[in-house]
Amino acid sequence: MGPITILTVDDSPSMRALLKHALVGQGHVVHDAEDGLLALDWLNRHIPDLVITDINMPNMDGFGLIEALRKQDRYRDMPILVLSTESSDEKKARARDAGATGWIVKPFDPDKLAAAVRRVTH
Amino acid sequence: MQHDEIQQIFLLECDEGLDLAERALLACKNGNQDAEAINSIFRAVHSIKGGAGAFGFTPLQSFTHKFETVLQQVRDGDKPLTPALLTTLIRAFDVLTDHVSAIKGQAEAPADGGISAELEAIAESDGAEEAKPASLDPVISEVPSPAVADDVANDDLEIDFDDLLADLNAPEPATGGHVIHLRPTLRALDNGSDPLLLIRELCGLGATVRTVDLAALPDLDSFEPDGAYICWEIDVPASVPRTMIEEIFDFVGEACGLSIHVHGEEPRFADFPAKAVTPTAPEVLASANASSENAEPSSPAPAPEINENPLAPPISDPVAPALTETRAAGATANAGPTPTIRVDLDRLDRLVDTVGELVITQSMLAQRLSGAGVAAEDELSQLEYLTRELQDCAMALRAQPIRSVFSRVPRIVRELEAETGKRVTLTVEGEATELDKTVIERIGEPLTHLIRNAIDHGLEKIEDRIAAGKAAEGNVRLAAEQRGGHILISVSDDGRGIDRARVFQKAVDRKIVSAEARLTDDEIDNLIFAPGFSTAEQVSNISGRGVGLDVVKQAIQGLGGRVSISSEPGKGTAFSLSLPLTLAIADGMIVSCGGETLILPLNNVVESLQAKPEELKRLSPTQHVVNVRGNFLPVIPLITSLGMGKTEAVSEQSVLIVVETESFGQIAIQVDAIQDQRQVVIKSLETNFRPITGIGGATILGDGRIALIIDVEALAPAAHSPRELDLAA
Repeated sequence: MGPITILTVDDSPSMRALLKHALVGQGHVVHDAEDGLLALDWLNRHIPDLVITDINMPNMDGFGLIEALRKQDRYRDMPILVLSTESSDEKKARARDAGATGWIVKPFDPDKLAAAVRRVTH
Repeated sequence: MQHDEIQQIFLLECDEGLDLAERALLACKNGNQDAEAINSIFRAVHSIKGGAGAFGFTPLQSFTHKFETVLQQVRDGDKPLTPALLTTLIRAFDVLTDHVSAIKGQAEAPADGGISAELEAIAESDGAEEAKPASLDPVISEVPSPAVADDVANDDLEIDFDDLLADLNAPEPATGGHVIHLRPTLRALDNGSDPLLLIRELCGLGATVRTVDLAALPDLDSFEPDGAYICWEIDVPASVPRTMIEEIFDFVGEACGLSIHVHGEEPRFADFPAKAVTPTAPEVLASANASSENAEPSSPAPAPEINENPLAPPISDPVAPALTETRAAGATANAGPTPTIRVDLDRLDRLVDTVGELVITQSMLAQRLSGAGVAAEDELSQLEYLTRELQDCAMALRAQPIRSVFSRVPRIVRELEAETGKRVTLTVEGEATELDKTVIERIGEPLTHLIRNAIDHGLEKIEDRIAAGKAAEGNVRLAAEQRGGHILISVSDDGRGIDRARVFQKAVDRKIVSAEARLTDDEIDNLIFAPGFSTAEQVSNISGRGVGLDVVKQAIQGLGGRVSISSEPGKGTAFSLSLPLTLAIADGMIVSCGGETLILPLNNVVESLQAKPEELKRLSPTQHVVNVRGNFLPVIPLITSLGMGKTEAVSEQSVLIVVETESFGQIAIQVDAIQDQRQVVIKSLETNFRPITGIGGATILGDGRIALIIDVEALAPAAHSPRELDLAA
């Protein structure tokens, strides 16, 4: 798999830094956003290959972001992974209903993250 | 970016999170509990948990997990936020703060004090909620924190399986290993999923596709281009562990019917309807989560909108009567995401330093050009204006709101309440006031000391307060404001005030003053700052730690500030700290003395004068006092006190500069002449040379020469104290 462009969305700077560190290390191009709204704003101007988003964020949470993206034609089929410390079925069901492609539990192992990215991108 | 650096970011983030959480908790305590307050506490704890896991701080992670579980229940409205629960949350917050200090290496791992168990008990109790299926919350709380759990590897990628399994016709078993039936639903390609990627990955592990079932393919008329119609049967060699297969299908979700079986053990799907297959689903799940999903097929799936979910307790009037203005101001300062950028402090300091040099160069240039008669006044004044502007901007970069210091105070107050049995209402104002970072870093200790002092010594015991006709709850007010080039911080209480007779007696006992001394109220009050002074008859655990208020005074002076005190018996005591806005620049009075150019900090200067002969009195051949409107001030010849040579006796020709010193009041410094008054950039002698008593630093003058900045405080002791005076004579 070649390098892809990934947008990571997380309100925690250290989590963004960790994700970037891991994903850039795997050869990807990584952009990040602090919350759902900023992510949407970025996504209005760029189209990445994959979005990895946190759930609990101020302004617009991960569910809101995914729902908003799935309403747009160009994002109907783009893979969106949720990366969250939460792991309740209820939340996962909600993410799935919103249109998430997959769910990764924090803290993540870089290898598993790589596998997850591979699994949803061409 | 290295792991360590990312960890540093995390530690900063912890502080910010704690800060936010504490403010929200206090808002709740003050009756302003709204959904957003709870949510922000939850988010802060949640973020810390995430980072703690990522960086391997297991105790922190496990504690935040318990804390978060309870917060989540409160946020989701499952548990009403009762005063008792709030108290527990605040205690948990304090322990969390300790955990964070522990990972920074600033403290030992905190004593839990049973708070973890308490949180767990709360999490597992049913709360006062009956509308919600009781099974849900316990399930959430029992799910172990991912990294703490033993089955981390399996849990790492959560598994989302459908409760519908495909009713494929099972083919004959082949050669051992696993058989996978994969039957995507029509919408399996939605949301970016693609079963083909999964199959490809399986094949990478040595799997082979045994059959491809095209039976579901419709006519071209009804064919949907983005629909999924194909089903697969895949053989996976026995060498591939089942967990690995499960991991690959983590993401399958509802999109694909999936079953994994050992060869020869596949059920005949045709034998029972799809729904009945559900009980087998848990077999393929490593996680306990799925069982709850299956056990509660009719549970109300749609989770409430988090942000709109009203909290169980009534939301109180957002306009609280007290503190409205300051709280509102604080909130405004915090409202909305302010775009920020993190800058390495070294770079910032280099900028400030360089701008400082620029200021000096600019003034050198101005001096040189005006000396050379070059007519460039407009440009020069414009340049000066711009440089000043730039300097202000650079200085502002180092400024931080004092909030980070103030936010520690509520906790100290809580601890002291517990320790002393007194009840305290803390009022905090001006948290958004900005100070230089260095000041912020060093102001914490002295401020803590003053707060402890106010509660321990200032406030009376509850029974004494009631006897004095006061409210049982004592008031302590902490406020900051900018006034001119200074920041004023005040700590005041409505306690008993300073017992001047006792203070004076103590000072006499400690030989700080003589019994005959006639002191004003003000002077007596200031005695409590004298080194070695302590009025506590019973040394308490709180402020009587062998550290007196003199340490507070020294610390504040070390920051270029002043402390003053005012007290009214029976009404209370107020300490005011006056601190400079920046430590890097000061207004200076440039004087000449013995052929040297020296600088007196303008902060200290009260006035300058030339004395009339009758105002000068000689005490000894080398000691004089000057009568300034009835006050006799000691005259300190700068030249001798700095050891630069012999001075001419003070005369009406001498220029005297009256300066205010903290420890000894006003003194008159004798210099040869006053040259100028201007801003100087302070260069530390400690870092560039070595510390010299009497010299506070150095600066570069407009003509490029170096001038020393006088430390007025160091000149003072030789002047005022009778004992010191004897020694000097």
